[in-house]
Amino acid sequence: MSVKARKHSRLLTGLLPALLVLGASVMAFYKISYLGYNLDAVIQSESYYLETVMEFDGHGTAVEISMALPQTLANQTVSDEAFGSDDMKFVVQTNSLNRRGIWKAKKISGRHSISYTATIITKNRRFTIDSTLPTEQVIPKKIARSLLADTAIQSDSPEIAALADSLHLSTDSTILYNISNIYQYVTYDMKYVKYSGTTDALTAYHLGEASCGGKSRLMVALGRYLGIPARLVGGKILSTGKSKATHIWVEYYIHGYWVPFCPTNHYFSEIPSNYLILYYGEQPVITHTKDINFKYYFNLKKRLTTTNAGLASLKHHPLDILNIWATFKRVSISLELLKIIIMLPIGVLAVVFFRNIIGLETFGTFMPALIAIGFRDTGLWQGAILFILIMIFGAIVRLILTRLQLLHTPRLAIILSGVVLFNLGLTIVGVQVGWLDLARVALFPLVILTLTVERFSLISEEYGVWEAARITLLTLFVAATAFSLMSWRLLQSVVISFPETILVVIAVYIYIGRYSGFRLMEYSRFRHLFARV
Amino acid sequence: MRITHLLGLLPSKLGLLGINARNVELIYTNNERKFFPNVDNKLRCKELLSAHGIPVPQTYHAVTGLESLRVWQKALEGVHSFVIKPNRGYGGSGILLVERKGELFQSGSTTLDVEDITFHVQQIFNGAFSRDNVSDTAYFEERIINHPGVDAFIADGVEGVTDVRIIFKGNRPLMAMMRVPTRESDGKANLHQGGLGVGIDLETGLSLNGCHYNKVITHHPETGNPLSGIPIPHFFEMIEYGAGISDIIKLGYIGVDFVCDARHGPLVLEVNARPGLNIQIANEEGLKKRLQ
Repeated sequence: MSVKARKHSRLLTGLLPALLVLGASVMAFYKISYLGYNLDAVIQSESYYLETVMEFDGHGTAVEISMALPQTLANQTVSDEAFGSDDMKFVVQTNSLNRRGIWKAKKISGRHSISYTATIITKNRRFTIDSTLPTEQVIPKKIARSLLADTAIQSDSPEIAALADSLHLSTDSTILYNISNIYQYVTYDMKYVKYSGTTDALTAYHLGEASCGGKSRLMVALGRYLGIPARLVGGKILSTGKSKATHIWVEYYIHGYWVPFCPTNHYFSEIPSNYLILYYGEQPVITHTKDINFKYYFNLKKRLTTTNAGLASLKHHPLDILNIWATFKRVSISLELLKIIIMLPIGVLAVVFFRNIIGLETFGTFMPALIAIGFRDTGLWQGAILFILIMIFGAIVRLILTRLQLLHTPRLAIILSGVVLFNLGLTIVGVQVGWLDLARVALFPLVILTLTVERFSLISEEYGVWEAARITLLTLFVAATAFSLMSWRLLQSVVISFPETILVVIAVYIYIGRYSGFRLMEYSRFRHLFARV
Repeated sequence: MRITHLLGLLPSKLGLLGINARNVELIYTNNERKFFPNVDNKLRCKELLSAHGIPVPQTYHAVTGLESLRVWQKALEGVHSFVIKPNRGYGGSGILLVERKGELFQSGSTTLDVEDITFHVQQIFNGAFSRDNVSDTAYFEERIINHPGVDAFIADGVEGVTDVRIIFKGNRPLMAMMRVPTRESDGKANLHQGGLGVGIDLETGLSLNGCHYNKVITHHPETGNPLSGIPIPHFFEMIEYGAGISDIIKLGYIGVDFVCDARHGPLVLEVNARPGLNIQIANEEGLKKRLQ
């Protein structure tokens, strides 16, 4: 390159990043000041997509299935509800507290599948109970029935009275004192055991141990005994994946407010942001006609949604990217997929940083970022474990293949097939043992895995297994960093609302691309020379 | 900025070159991409060099397709020992040193038959050892016999070729190092597999201290002999041949790998457009310093 050309390139590499950053800033400024982009519109809140799938075999007779449906309450918003009825009649029954979906058919045969889906946003709610409030309070008529004993909550039993005495409960003490003592007893003095049947309050007391239902019923019984209106709350703890588990906790009526308590997971006057309320009182989440081979599961997927209120505040304009995303959502193009694509340049930042500034070796240039995409479906830790399992399996297959002395491309094809079978096997095992996260391995990018296995094998052949293992771990580490970067919610919100951020990232890449300083690892490489200076 | 200056202090004192600086300041600015095939394609490189009177090892046979795959035995009739190489190989992988043992062949400790060798050639042909796994040419090349002058560097029983890497900026030699196979490296002269690098004084042609992995060493770890002060056979001839190569292959920053054959003297084995950096450890000095 001539001196002139070199000057030219230096000018360009200095100017270009500046121009990119300037361009991005102008666009962002325009969107903020003229289109009214603001934090409310930009920051997306975490939501869950709840899917309840119920299946059964009809035998030509009547079938009725019902399910408690979540409602929008102070701690939760339920939207985009959809019901799959599969030839059945569907109605929603509502009373003052609860809502149930009922699927009915007079004569139905064959396998059927019905479903309920909704988008759910939940938030944490915490109450402070004034320490001077008395236990006696004015109880509205509507609430008075929350004081009555029933078959599972035997608040009128002498044993409950004796227990209340031993816990020093008294209507003369403050309500906070009484509730604290009750909570202390059911939460900490009673052991927690996993048990799936219904345990009534007395049985829980006799056993001294219970699951969430038993603990909650005893807590309700003690409250009612003291004259504090109390009720069971049934719902679901939100976490990604398929499950059948539901959860029960408690609400006490305290001077005009229903205040939540969860003796199982230790929440005192608080409902955490991952609790979804499905119903109040004593009722099953799902009921169904007997002998129909009924199966069900809940499937929860995490999503980010822009709140509609935020979106509404924006002006319409062709440059308004948020509106474009909203359109995507309407025509059901996967916004999730789009998010990955748009976050990829950011994830790659981790790869560039670790390779060129730190000097870590990884398999392939962008392999770590692509593996990071795989983690999105499996979660980071499970993903990492599965990745290592697949690598070990692949390396063994590769070792066997070395003996067969096959040509390169067919050999790669066999490894690919092997990895597919292995993943399928893991999926089947996952479904059988009920560990559904394991089943998600099927979503791992197979070709990436195959190529990584091949590189692993070549390196272990040429430089030994330890070197290959070392690079595997480094690759995994860089992938994990890329994943964290790509799934960082705030950053996601910013990039989705301001895709021009990618211009800034490109500017950073140009800067790093001209960086001629030592890589951090080179200080270690040349340390023996430094020592001799 | 302060921190980068501080971190830059140590390397700049020694004039050390890092990978980033090598790529940005030397390779991208001196080696145009379009001329890379002049060295990455080893057969082309050999042709270019020998057309300009620079000695290279003899090529017996090149397998460019299934036709030539069948006739390798014929082409190598009467050749006792030879080397099979992938034309676009890198990092020394895919290279097979072979010696005839009657009907069979010996490569290191393993015995091979005709089928095994054909398979290896086919592997090369299918791109198993080339960058990006593109289809590659395999070639059979004359096997080098070490010049007795380098025996002092090699432990008993180690079979393998020592070579001399000289880095040139244009026609100017910057730094040189001899690469010595060891028991640990299984006869390979690759530094990252446990081979030794021995620095060479450009003025005197005498050996200096060396490096083993990233460590500076003064004595051979397997023989215990001191490394420095031994004359490198034909070193000045190598410098002379090497000085002309940059113009021939149109690359401005290169590492030229010479071997010193007992029968033919110095031969250019290959040229590297991205020469490594551990030569600096073997010479206990930085390449940046030499560039000034």
